This record gives sequence, C-alpha cells and structure tokens, in this order.
Amino acid sequence: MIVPETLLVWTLIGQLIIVLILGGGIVAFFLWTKFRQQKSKSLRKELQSELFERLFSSDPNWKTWENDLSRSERRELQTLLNDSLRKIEGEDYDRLRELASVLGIPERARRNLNNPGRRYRALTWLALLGESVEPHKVINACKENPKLRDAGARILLRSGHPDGPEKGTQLLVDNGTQPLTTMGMDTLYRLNNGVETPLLSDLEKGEIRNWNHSFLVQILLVLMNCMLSRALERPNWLFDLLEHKSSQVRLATVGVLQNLGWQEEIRRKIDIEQLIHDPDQNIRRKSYFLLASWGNETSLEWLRNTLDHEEPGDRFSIVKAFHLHPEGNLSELPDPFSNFVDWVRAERKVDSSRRIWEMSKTWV
Amino acid sequence: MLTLEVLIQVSAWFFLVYFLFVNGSYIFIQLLSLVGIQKTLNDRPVRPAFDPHESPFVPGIAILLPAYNEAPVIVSSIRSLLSVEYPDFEIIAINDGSTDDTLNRMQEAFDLQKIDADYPLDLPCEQIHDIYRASDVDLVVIDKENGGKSDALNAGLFFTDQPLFCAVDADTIIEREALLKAAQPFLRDPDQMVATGGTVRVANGCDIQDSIVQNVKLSNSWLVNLQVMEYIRAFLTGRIGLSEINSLIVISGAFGLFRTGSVRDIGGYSTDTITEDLELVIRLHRYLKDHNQPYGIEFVPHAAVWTQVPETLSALGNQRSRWFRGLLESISMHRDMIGRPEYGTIGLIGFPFSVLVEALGPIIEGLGYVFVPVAFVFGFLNISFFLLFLGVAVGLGIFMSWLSVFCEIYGFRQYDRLSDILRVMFYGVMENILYRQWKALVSFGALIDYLKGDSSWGEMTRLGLEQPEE
Repeated sequence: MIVPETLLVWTLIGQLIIVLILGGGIVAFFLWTKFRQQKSKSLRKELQSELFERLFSSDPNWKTWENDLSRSERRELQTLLNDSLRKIEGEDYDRLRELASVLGIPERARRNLNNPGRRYRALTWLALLGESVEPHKVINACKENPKLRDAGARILLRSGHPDGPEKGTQLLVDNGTQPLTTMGMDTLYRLNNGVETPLLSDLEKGEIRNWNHSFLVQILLVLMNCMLSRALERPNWLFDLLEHKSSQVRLATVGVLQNLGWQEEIRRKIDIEQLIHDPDQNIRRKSYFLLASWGNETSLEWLRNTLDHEEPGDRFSIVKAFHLHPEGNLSELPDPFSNFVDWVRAERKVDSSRRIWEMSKTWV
Repeated sequence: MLTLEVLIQVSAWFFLVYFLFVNGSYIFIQLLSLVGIQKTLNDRPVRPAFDPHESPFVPGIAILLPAYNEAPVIVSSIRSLLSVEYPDFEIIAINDGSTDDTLNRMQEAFDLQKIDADYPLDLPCEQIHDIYRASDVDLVVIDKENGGKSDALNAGLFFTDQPLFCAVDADTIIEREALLKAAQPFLRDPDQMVATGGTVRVANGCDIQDSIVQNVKLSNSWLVNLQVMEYIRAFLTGRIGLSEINSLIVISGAFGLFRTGSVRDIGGYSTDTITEDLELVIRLHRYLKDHNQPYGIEFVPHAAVWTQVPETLSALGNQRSRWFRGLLESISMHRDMIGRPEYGTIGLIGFPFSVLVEALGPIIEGLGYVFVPVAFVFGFLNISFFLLFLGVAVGLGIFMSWLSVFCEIYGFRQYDRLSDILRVMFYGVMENILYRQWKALVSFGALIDYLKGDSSWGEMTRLGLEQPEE
C-alpha cells in the first residue's frame, strides 16, 4: 500500500471534523450577518427618515438628536451622511456639514491625518466636507502614493483656499513618474479649469523634463479639457512637444492645440505640414479635426492639401473634417472619396432625425 | 503478472501525487481568494470623493453584443444594457446572420434607422449588409453575414472609436453598476490596465423583471443548482485566487472589458477557436510580455452579470465539450508559453495550472475510473483502502466547495435565504456523486472530438430570462 490505511483513517476523521466545523460556521456566519444586515437596514431606514425630516425643517437641532444616538446609530448615520454629502448641494449641504461637525467628524479626520491606517478615510471626509486644511499639512500627509495624493488634492480643490489650485496642482504633478488615477486627472482638471491654470506655469517653466511619457500624456489630456484662463506667454514647450519621440505625447499635444487654437500667434507657428504628414495615423487624423475646429479659409486650404492621402482611415477622417469645417463642402471632394462622402451624408441624415442631442461618438 | 503489479503500483503513485498536487493547488487558490476578498472589502468602505459621472476623463465604452438567433432575449438584453449606470457608453449589437427574428425584433423595439450607404472601411469580418442607428438611444446595429461569435465581435471592435469595449453575451443581464465597477481598475491605472473581467452568476430561478434581477433565488432544477455551486467555486472564488497571483488566463466572454487599441494591436479575436475569450486573453498576455509593455489584467468580483445556464444534460454536455475543446485548442496554440519565465506568472503558474489541472484533470480522473475496476478485477485493489481514499477525495471536494460558499457569503451575499445556502452546500456534496464522473466522461468525449478536429458549437435553446407577465 502506498499510503498506510491508518493515515487515511485519521485524515478522513480530521476532514470530517473540519467539514462539519466549516458547515456549522457557514450557517452561523450567514445567520449572524443576516441579522446584522437586517438590523442595519431597518436602522438606516429610520435614520434616513429622521435625517431628511430634520434637514428640511426650519431648525434641525442636530445636537439634541446626536445626544440621543447610540453607537450603532451614530455609525449608520455617518454612512448615510457620507452618501448624502455626495448628492446634495446648496443650503442643505451646509446643514449636513453642521451635522458632521456635531458628530465630530472633521475633528477626528484632522487627527487621523497622522494615522497611516485611517489617513485615506480622513482625507476623503475632509474633501467631502470641503474643510479648509492648511496646504502644507495636506501635502505632508499625502506624499506616499497616488491614492493619497488624489485625496489630498481633492481637499485643496474643495476647500477654496487661495493657494489651493497651485498647491493642489503641485501635489499631483510633483511626482511625475507614477501615473495619475482618473480621480487625480479629474481633480487636476478642476484645479486648473477657469480662473487659474497653474499647470501652464509649470509647463512654461520646463517642468516636463522630470515627467515620464505616460504622465506627460495625462497632463496634456487634462489641459485639453481645461478652459484656459489666459493666453500662453511662452508657448515653446508646446512646439517642442509636437516633435516629441512618443506618438502618444504628440497626439495629446495636438489635442491641447485644439484648445489653444484661438491664439493666432500659435496658429502661425505650428508646422501643419509636419502634423498632416506625421507617420502616426492617429496624429494625422487629429490634425484634420484640428483644422476643422479653426474653421477659416486657411485651415480649409490645409485640409484640401490632404486630399492626396491614400490610406482609407485618413480619407475617412478627412471627409469627416470637411463635414465639420464651417466652410467645408463635401461635394468638392474627388471621386476616390465618394464612398466616404456617401457614408458621412447618410450618417448625417440619420443623426439629424434622431431624438437625442449628441453627435455620434465616432466623430471625436 | 509482476509487470502488471508494477504497472499498477506506479499508476497508484502517479494518481496519488497528482491528487495531492491538484487538490493542494485548488485549496491554495481558494485560500488566496479569501485574501483577495478581504482586500476588496477593505477598499470598499471608503469611496473616493469623486463622481465619475461628472468627469470628462472616464473612458467611453462600446458594449459589443454579438447575436445569433437570439430573438427571445435580444430586446430584454439591450434594455438591460441601456439601463447600465455609466457616464459614456454606446451599444453595438451585431446581428451575425441570424435566421430567426433577431433583427426584426430590434428594429421594432428601438425604431432603427438604416444608414443608407456602405460602410467605407474594410472591417475584418464577414460581409456587412447594413448598419442601423436607433432613434432614441445610443444603439448601433450591424447586420452581417454569419461568421461566428469572434467574427461578430471583431466587426464591433473595429467599428467603434471608444477607447474601451465590453464584450457581453445576448443572454446576459448586467447589473446596473457592473460596468462602472469593471471600469474601476482602468480609472485607477488608466495607463496600464488592459482588461478586466466580472463575475458570471446563474440567472435561472431568479426573479427578473424589466431586465433587472429583483430577487436572487435558486432554481428548482438540480442540474442548474449543481452549476450554481460550480460557478461559485470556479468562476468566482477560483478566479479571485488566480487574479491575486496575476495568473488569470481567462476573462469570461459573458462579461469582459478591454482596451480597444490593445485588442486591435493583436488583430482582434481569433476566428480559429471556439473559446475566443480564453484565447484572446492568452494572446494579450503573450503580446504584451513579448513587447515588454507593463500591463494589468484583473478580475473584478463585484462587477456581476447574470446569465442563463443549460437546463438539460445534452445542452450542458455540448457547452462543456466546447469549453474543453477550446481549452485544448488554446493550450495547443500557445504551448510555447508554458513554463517560460519571460511570461512571468502566466508562463510559470497560470498556464501550467490550466494544463496540468484543468485540462489533464478530467482526463486523469476518467482514467482513474478505468484503473480502479481493472485493479479490482486483477485483485490488486484493496477495497477498504479504496473506500477510505475515495472518502478523503470526496471530503476534499466538499471542503473546497463549502469554503467557496463561505467566501461567497463573506464577500458578496447574493443568496439571502438560509435555505438557498443550505441547498448550495447540499449540491456541494452531491456534485461528487455522478456529476463529476459525468463531466469527466464529457471531457473524454471532447478530447476525442478535438483529436478528430471537431470545432462545432452545439445548440443552446434560449428560453428568455424574464418571467412572463401575469
């Protein structure tokens, strides 16, 4: 026998015991969690009702309510508050902030900035509540990893601190090697969208030298979406990036150009010839749409210069760009483009009769 | 006689070693899944102060829905997809030469408008007849010649301009938040994430109205419930465990989210395989490793879809035969990745695991069912030893199944009734009696079919997921 029978017997007995314990444990665990879930559900329902009744009353009297709450009620209420703060605005949001204050959430969160195990939760609460925290304290608490940096920058965004946009931008871009999360990109966008654009200052100072390609692409994508507060004072970085060895960087730069294209000085200096003959098809395609967005006779002339492109993907994009150009006329396109023109016209016809107000996604 | 005795001794040692290896691997993976679930639970309580619905950086997704003779389910499936909560998506349904009413049903339900021109680019698929857009919703329908599921997916994948695409099956209901959950790894790591997969759950027996699973329940069918137990063990906790050690070589074709550019770079889905989901992910791993591109492929267990599983032995047999033949095909196509360190944990763990355990397992198990009677006939079988060993094997099987049930309750709690949990546990016992043996037999048959070059799909009768209105 390759294995002694006694070993098998003991193994079987041991297994039986383990399986029975596991089976019993599963049932017990299930019942316990079900009980907790039902209790939590009914508690939440009651608390939610009370919360909104007080929220919409003339005087919510949070303090009185808070004094009567049990520990588990307090815990559930915090969860409810966390959900509600994300959905409510205006005066009601301010009232919820008062409730958070009565529950001691901001104070605890500020203390927990020094606790690595609770830091992320603390940062999230402070951001949700729009609490004002000194930028240097936020930055000190958040340097470790992208997740913490995102959360810290969000606080600087929501706090309304005068140095918020600049410090928040610095917090997010100083690393330059680890890619931003989508939340990080979103925060960076909001920090730079409108009144100030600290990112532009960084780019003009040459900060990009410290950034890797992926990070740079993300920064450019953010800029592509921002309403920029001012004209570029020193745009050389932009022209340098159009010659970057990474096609992704070049592509994202063309996207930024589309955003900055209203500046005549920039339009004059761009080497359009280089863009519309870039070896990467995505860049050529983006350039056609860039020209369409400029919408003038010069850009239309440039588009006409692309009619010798033979790649089907290029031709398709050229036809779409002609369609988008305010002065473009699909009828002037030569025979080799006829299939593409037919499609664009047919798609336009269907799109115009659709009852939802957005351009088909294939046109971006 | 001596030779036979030696042969039987050697075989016995082989079976024992293999038995220890397979069960040890499975237990390890199940324990890893507990770690993975705990990590997910640790992250969940703290939602970031960020609303993806308001961000311009959340990547757009094209939901690709290949459909061949899906008339009973296609409208409900599309409606389910339209109710998904995600800021930016479009649905591309590909009618793959259906011979039933699939296209007509879509036309009626969604007021499709034909784009009256030929699509001017060559898509790498069978001929396209027409392309339609819906009037009220973001739905495109591509009507084409039949070319198979991979061909249909390629039509959609090369048509869309969205940066991500999600391949789903027509008989699938996606939970409202599933797409956003599956996209989370892409939001966390937009630069490197290439693919994520969600959990496939069994819809049979659940209360479904308006394309939403209202109430999760077990079916009255023992065959369906055996599959529920399997799905929990293999497709849920098993994949969590493999994902923990970056050894996931498959993302379910019922629900997978991919970076469009990356899949186009490898030429899209292969039309030479009958399990296109498995082969695609292996090829992605291969391509990205060969090009030294850092990447991520993750399993997102909380992103769930619900699908109809076979309710008859013949339909189930067809399905499992196809899966097994597909596994053998994919292994054969990429066999040079096995055991090679340059393919990382995929080459050293994930792929060898698939070969040694999932491919060889049913075959060796089947050989065991032959070996035992032979040994008995020749008088080499110690009955008491055999029964004890069988008891240990069954006990291990029950332990792993029940451990996965515990993981399901701990991490997900989809089944809310104690009676359903007890029934699932019961099937965790019962699957060791005849069901496993039957599956081993199906795998043997699949092996023979594979060697004969059979690449058929078999038929699955669609019943429709919704309860009929009273």
